[in-house]
Amino acid sequence: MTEVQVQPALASNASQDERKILEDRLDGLLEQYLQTLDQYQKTQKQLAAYLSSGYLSLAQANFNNNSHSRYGQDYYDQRMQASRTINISGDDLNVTFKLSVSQEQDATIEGSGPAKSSQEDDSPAEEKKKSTDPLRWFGILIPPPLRAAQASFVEAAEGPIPHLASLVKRLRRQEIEIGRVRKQIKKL
Amino acid sequence: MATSTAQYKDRQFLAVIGDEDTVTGLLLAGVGHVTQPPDSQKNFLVVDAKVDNATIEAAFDKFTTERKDIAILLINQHIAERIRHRVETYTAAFPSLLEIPSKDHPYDPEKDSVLKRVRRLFGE
Repeated sequence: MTEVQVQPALASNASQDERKILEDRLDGLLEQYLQTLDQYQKTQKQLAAYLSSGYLSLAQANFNNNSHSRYGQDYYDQRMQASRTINISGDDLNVTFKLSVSQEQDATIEGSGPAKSSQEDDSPAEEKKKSTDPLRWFGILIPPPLRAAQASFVEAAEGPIPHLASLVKRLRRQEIEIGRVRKQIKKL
Repeated sequence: MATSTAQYKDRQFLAVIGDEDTVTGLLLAGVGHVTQPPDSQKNFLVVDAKVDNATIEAAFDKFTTERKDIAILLINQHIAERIRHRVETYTAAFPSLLEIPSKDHPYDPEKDSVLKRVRRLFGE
């Protein structure tokens, strides 16, 4: 009778230790999670700042614009090619998104062409380079506010956007880990 | 690990579902891409007054499910609201989905699907 009572006491001691270990682990995970969350919210603020200055510049450009209706979809180049793309790296545990700026492909194609007289050398390449800049969709004279808008959106695309994508991935992974440890604690 | 790399190795474009200014701005940044004809698939949708929810949903499905070359999908938060059930049930690993503010609708953390998950995690 006494022996029977000792057994469960021992067992519950062991499970209490296990519980303690798991609970500490959960605390650690939650702390990490809150840190990632904090970064996410800060980066969202940063993104909002870049975007709102971009929207403001675009509004200014449209306000000063007498010639066209507005800087918008009517002028998009229907054969546009991305010059800024995303590079994903890492593994399941740590995925990172980064923006990469393509080399001027058109310029290199020009450069490798057969005719390379000294006059032709830079002028066609330069023309090509200009034509790939989306600013050119809107004409030859680029108002400064439109250029400023482009600069703000470039900043948003280079910094906070890929950073946020990486953070969302990290949050997802941490949520799964937290769920797993919570389940283990419940089972005890 | 090898499988996960295969999952995203062709994913390189930023796609956008947004109002005209949002799309114009991001295209100015050089993210816009139209694939070779005859497909000529765009990686963006301008949501103006004429665009209905079915069109937004179709674009969302195309960018998240059909196309395998999208790395990140950006969607204006006020547009995400119109197809909220889709956004909230989206759980695929790629593309990564981000809700971004527009000119007239500042970012609202209360609506962000990422932060809704956080609140669920803490049992709210």
